[in-house]
Amino acid sequence: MIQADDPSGGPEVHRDPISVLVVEDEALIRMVIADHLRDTGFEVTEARSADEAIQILGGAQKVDIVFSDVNLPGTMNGIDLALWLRSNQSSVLVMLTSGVGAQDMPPDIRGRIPMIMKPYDLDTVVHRLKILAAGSR
Amino acid sequence: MRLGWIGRDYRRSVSLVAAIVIVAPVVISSLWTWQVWSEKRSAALDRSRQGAALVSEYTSRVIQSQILLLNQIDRVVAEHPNAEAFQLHNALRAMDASFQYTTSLGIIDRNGDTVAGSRTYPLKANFADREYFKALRDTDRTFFIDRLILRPLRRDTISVVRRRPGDDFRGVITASTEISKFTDFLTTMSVEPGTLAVLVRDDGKVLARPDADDQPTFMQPDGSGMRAMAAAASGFFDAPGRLDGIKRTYAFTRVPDLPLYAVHGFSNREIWNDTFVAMLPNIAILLICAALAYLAFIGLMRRVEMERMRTSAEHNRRLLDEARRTSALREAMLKEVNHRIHNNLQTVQSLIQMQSRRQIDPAAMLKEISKRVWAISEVHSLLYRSAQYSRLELSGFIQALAANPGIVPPESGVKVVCDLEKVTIETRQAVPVALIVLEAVINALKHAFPDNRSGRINIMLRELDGQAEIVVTDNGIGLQPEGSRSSGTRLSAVLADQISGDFACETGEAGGTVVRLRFPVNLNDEDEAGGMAAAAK
Repeated sequence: MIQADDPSGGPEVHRDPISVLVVEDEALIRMVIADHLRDTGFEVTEARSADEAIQILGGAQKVDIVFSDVNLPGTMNGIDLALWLRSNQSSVLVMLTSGVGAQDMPPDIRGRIPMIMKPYDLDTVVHRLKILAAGSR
Repeated sequence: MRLGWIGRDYRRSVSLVAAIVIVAPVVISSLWTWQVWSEKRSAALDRSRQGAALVSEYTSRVIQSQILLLNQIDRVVAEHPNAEAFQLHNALRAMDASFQYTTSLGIIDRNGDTVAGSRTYPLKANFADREYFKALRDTDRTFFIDRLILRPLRRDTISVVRRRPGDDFRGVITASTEISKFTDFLTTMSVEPGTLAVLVRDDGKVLARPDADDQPTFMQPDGSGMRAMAAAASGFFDAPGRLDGIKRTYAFTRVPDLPLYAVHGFSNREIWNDTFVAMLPNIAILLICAALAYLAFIGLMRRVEMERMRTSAEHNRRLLDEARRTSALREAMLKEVNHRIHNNLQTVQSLIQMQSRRQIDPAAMLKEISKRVWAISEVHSLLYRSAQYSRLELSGFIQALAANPGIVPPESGVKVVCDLEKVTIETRQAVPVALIVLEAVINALKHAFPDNRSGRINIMLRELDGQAEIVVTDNGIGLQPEGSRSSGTRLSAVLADQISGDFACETGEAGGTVVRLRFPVNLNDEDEAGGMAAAAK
C-alpha cells in the first residue's frame, strides 16, 4: 500500500502502514497521541508500562517503532525498555519522550536514541516517526 | 566562628593554668620556706638561750670563786693587820695556787701602790691610773669587773676588783683570771657556724669573745642590744656584729648577782642557708610536680581540643552531607516538578486535542478546557501549599471545586453539598482524580438539571481498606439514553484506568445520576521522597 497523503509533510512513502507501540502511563496523553497517530495512518498499539510493552512485543503483533515515555511505572522505565530492545529486538526502532530535559538523560543514551520533549506537538511526533521509519527502510 | 571561640577558650585556659602552675609553687614554696625558717630560727633561738645560760653559769662560777678569794684576802688582812708584804705575798700565792682559774691576786693601798701580789715579789707598781681604782675610790661603788692587761705580768685577764672593807677608802683587792679561761669556754659555745658567745658588762663593754686576741669593744649605747638588756634580765635582740658585721639574733641573760650579761647569738644568714638547704629538695620536687602537672594539663587540653575539633569537624561534615543531600533532593524535586509541568502541559494539550475533535461551540469548548486547566492548576496550588509536595489531601480540592463560582455558578440554582473525609492520595493520582470529579460535577450541571431547574449535587469522599471512594450524586433527571455524557464519561474511564481505579456512571435508585470512583491509596512513606532521593543519587 502506498501512502500518498502525508499530512505532516513527511518525506517518506511506505508500502505498509507503520506500526507504532505507544507506551505511556498517562492515559489521557496516551489516548490522544494514539488517536492522532491512527488518524494519520499509523497502526497503533497502546501499553501503560514497559512490562506491558515487552509482553506485546513478545506476541505476534508487528511493531516497527516503539514510542515510549521515559518515566514509566513498574520494573523498567523507558530507557530500560530502549536498552532491552537494542539487545533483544534490534530491528524495532525506538523514540523516547520525556518531560525531563535531554541533558538529564544518561550519557550512553543521550544523542543515540531519538527523543522528543514534552509537551510535544502531535504532528511533530508524526513527522519524526515517519523520518525514523524511512531511515530504516 | 565556633572553632575560633574554642581556640580562644583553649588559650585562655592554658594561660590560666600556666599562671597557676607558676604562682602556686611560688606561694606554696614561700609559705613552706617561711614555716621552716621560723622553726629553725625558733630552734636556734632556743639553743642560743641555752648557750647564754651556760655562759652565765660558767661565768658565775668563775667570778664567784674569785669573790670567795677576795673574801678570804679580806679576812687574812683583817686578821693580820700588821703583816709584812712578804707574808701577804705568801698568803696570796698560797690562795692563788689553790684555785685553778686564778692568774693573779693583789692588794693595793689607798694611793694605788701595790701592797702585795700573788705572782711577783717584791712588786713595786702604782695602779692609781686604773679605771677600777678611780671608780672605787671616787664613787660609792664597791665592786668592779673589767678586762685588764696585768702589770708587770702583761697577762690578759678579767679582773674582779673590790673595795677593801671600811668606811674610809683603804684601797682595793683584785683577783684576775686569764682571759683564755673565758675565751676558751666561749669558743666551745661558738662552734656552730655563725654562732657567737660573748660576755658583756652591764655598761655595754664586751669583755670577752671566743678569740682571745679580740680587744674589748662597746656595744652601741642606743642599739637594740643595750635597750633589750636595759629592759629585761633576759631576752633576745637582733644586731649586726661589731667586728664581723654578721647579722645575728642574740639571746642574753644576766649573770646572777653580777653586772654581767652572757650573750649568745646565731647568724640569720646561717638560718637562711639551713632553710635553703632543707627546702631545696622540697622546692625542686614541688617545681617538678608543677611542671609535670602543667605538661599533663597541656596534654589533656590538647586532647580535649583535638576532640572538640574532631567533633566540630564531624558536625560540619554531617552538615555538609545534609546540605548535599538537601541540595540533591531539591535538584531532584526541581527535575520532578519540571517533569510534571511538562507532563501537565502535555495533558492540557491532550485535553485541547480531545475537545477539538468534538463538534461543539468553540466558546463552550474553551470554557470547558478552562475549567480543566483550573482543576490541574488547583491541584498544583494545593500541592505547593502542603507540607508534603508528594501528597495531596483530596478533600481540600473538592471543597475548592464546590466553592468555585466558575465551576458551580450561583445563578444555576444547583447546590453542591460535600460530605468529605480527609483522604490523602499520591501526587500521580491527583490530576486524574481531580479531572474525574470535575467531569462528574460539570456533567451533572450540564445534563441533570435541564430547563434551569434547581437541584443538588452531593459529593461524598471516604477511605476504607486502602481504597478511596468518591461518589458524586445528583437529584436530577438521571442518565439519558442518547448518551449526552459519553465524551466526559470516556475521559473519566480512561483517567480511572490510569490510577488503577474503578469508574462507574449510572442512574441511581432515586432517579438522579451516580458517578462512583474507587481507587487504591496505598501510600508508602518513602514513595515520593525515596524516589526523589534515589533520583538525586
